[in-house]
Parts: sequence; structure tokens; C-alpha cells
Amino acid sequence: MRERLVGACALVALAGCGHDLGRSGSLGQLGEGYFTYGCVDEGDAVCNITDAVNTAQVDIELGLDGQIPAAVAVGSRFDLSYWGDVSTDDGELLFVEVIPASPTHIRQGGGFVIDDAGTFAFLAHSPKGVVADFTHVTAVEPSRLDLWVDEQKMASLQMDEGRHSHIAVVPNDDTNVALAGALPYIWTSSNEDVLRIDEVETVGTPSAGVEHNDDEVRIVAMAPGNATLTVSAGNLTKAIEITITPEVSP
Amino acid sequence: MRRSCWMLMPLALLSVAGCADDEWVEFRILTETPAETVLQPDLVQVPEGWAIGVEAIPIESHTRLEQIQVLFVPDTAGVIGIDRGLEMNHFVIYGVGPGSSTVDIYFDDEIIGDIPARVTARQ
Repeated sequence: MRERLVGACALVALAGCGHDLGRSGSLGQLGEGYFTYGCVDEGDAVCNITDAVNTAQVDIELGLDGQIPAAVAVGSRFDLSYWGDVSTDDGELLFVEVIPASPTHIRQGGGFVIDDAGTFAFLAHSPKGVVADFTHVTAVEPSRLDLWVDEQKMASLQMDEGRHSHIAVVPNDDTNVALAGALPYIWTSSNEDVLRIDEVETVGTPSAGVEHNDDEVRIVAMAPGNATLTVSAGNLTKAIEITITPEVSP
Repeated sequence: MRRSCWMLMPLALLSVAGCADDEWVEFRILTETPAETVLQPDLVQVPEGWAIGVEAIPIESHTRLEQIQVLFVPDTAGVIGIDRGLEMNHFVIYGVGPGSSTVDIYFDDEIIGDIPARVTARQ
């Protein structure tokens, strides 16, 4: 029976790996360690910080506790790290990094971006030519964007003047499965006098009507009227009508 | 050269070729494999992007060899990868890019033959 340094850890030290949240992840195919999914930036529904999305409905698909999600969106950015056994039979301790088995379809740098639909292996790989373990990630073309407010998917929204709300976008495939990965979202308001958009963690009156990259934003009802809130990522667009009703004095 | 071949060497040089012809590798699959995967002594085929864990079993004259370290060396970069696993004679075979290659097989650092390898394009 060989002895191992079980519990030794290895990880991908990729700059920009922001939120692995100390999660346990998914057991690798060889059973030697765990691969933990991590969000690279703010545009990944896996790492939402508001309660706009009903997480009970989509977490299984997006991945709980750092598990590998059911699928990531083609063109989205994400990260993987490996924690597990990194010692060989003869006791050699390895430095391991996660790399794609087929780099042609996957961009690296600040995480990974899969450029084509399909299933792709990621290896916990040592430069000495040893693979400690591996996992597969499936990438799917997103076909629809859903907007969520207060844990409900929204086709329209009514707000009182002066109020604000958190709203989140989740990409889906054509079978209605929520997709992980950060996409480069652009949020716009058709009428900034009526509706403004700001970063999700801000307070007060926003100054701008456009927000980039985050999958969650704060929308503020500035004045009575109608405005169209639009979020887009690549060639996908979702727009909802928002009606602002006058503030009623007590 | 391995001990079994040294014992045959006095007989004839042919014994060397005989060793090589009579030695091969069989694969025990350790992980999930897609349908188009072939892991036979005379062909290795995996889909592009997929990885498969295997145990390589060194065989000589239909007998499993114990304590023989197997090594695989693809002769073409960018087609197939066969890297060692953490355990002896465990390997991870993965399709880097579509195409064909040949993989040299070593038993204890001695080449004993090769296997044609193919990586199929993604569907």
C-alpha cells in the first residue's frame, strides 16, 4: 500500500480568481481530489450576492458549494482549482495546475473561456507530465437571458417612485438549464430620467444609466413614467418594460 | 534490456524481436468513456477534449508482468496526450486535437513497440 500525502493541496494560482468561497467542489474522475469552480468576475450567476434569483431553483444547475456546474455558457469566464492528492507512488510531491486538455478551444488568462460548445477535460497537471486527476466541463451556447427580481422571473416590473430594486440576469440554454460563467453584460435604460442603473452594492441616487459586466444591478425609480431596461451579452438581448408609479404621500 | 530478454539472448538475436512481438499493453478503463473511445492493444482512440483514466497492464506471452513500469511517448505533439497518474502504471489519456499519431511503448525504459493513436473531432 503506497503512502500518500493525502490532504496536501494544490491549486491554480490564477490572478483574478475571486470567489471560490471555500467550497468543497466536485470529486475528480480519478477520485484523487476535488475540483472547485470559482467565479472570475462579477458577471457569474454562481456568485450572486443579492436575493434576486431564486437560488433553490437554479443552484443545482449552477453548482452548489463550488461543484462543477451542469454547464457553463460558451464564451463565459470561470475558474477551476484543484485540492487533493499531489504525491506520486514514489513520494514525489508535485506542483499541480489546472489546464485544459484541448487548449485549442479554451482561452486561459484570468480563468478559462470555452469558445465552442462541447465537453472538455481539465487536468490537474504537473509540468513533470503527471496528471493527479481531471474533470470535465460542458459548455453550451446560451439561447436566452432571464431577468430575476425578488426570486421571480420577470417579463415586466412596476416600481414606486424613489424605490430601488436588485435585478439579476441568468443565461439559459434551449432546454431551460441555467448556465454558469461570467458573460460581458451591458445594461441600459431607455429613459434615465425615469429609470437609472447602478452597481449592485451602491446606495443613493445613481449618476449613470449604463452598467457593464455585472450580472446583478441596482435599478432606481427616478420619476413616474415608463422605461425599458435592456441587458445584452453578445448577440443575446433581454428587455423588460418598467413602469414607475408616483410616490403616494401618506 | 529486461531480464526475460537477457535470458533468451544466447539463443539468437531473433529473441530480441521475439520479446518485442510478444509484449503489449492492455488497458483497464478507470473512468467514464464516450462512445467513440477505443482502448485496445492495437489502437487508442479518444475524442478531442476528453480525458480517460486507465491502468496500463504490461503483458508478455499472455502473462501479466509485475513490477514493470510502463511509459507512453506520443511521437506527434498536439494530437494525443498520455500522462502518468499518481499510481504506478495509471495514466490519463486525453485528446488534444483531432488527428493521428503513434505512441511508443516502453517497459522499464526499453521500447517494446508502438500503438497507433487517433483523436476524433468533436461532434
